[in-house]
Amino acid sequence: MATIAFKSAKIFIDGYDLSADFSSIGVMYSAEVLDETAFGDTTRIHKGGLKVADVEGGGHWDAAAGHVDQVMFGIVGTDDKIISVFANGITEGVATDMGFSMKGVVETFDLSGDPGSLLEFSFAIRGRGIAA
Amino acid sequence: MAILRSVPLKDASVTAMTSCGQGTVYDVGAIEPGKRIYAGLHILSSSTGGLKVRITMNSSSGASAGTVRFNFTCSAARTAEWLTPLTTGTTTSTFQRFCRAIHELTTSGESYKFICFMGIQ
Repeated sequence: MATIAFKSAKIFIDGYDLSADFSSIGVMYSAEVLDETAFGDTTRIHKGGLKVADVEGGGHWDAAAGHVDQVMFGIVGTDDKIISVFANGITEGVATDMGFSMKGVVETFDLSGDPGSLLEFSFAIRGRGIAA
Repeated sequence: MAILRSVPLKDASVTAMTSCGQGTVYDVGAIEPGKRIYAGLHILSSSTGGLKVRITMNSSSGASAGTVRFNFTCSAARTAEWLTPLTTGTTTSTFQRFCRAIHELTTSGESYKFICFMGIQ
């Protein structure tokens, strides 16, 4: 695995390949950091908390069958939608070029644009954990 | 765990499968005690009848068959499924690292696109 010319991302949401509708995608994986500083401490003491996973992205709005509007509009607020993102295309069986998959709830599906521009969309899906 | 590093086990997202088949056996990596094994499926097209996908695991890459560890719901429609992960304290001896996806089409003449993935964390 080496650096990637980021041009072949594959994005699957709930049984739809929406890769061609997206022009940007981001996978955010973080941990909440808790402050357990107490009186008498001489430094701020932090403690690792819950893990957080989000996927956010956007692209060119398309209302045709099988495209982003048909898929995303109806699932806003719906739990346990499955999203998979493969940053560098798909290579079967390659553990060094893995993707990211999670179950989440679709938080936003927004449209916006300026006169003369393509109508764009943005979306965000928040992880619900993958343990079950 | 919040998100899975997923290994594509069978990629039929571009070229549809029109007959039953077995995917290539892949080494998905060591399964250490205490780890969980996850699997998911996106069925990317619809047809009549149904598509049934299973994942087998084996101790040897050359073996022709393995034990079915994941069994996705048969579906004729676009869908996505995330199966309950395998969890045990003895994954090393119970489960094996050589995995393959098997797909079955319930009736002839069907055509499905799908992608099946798994991961160990």
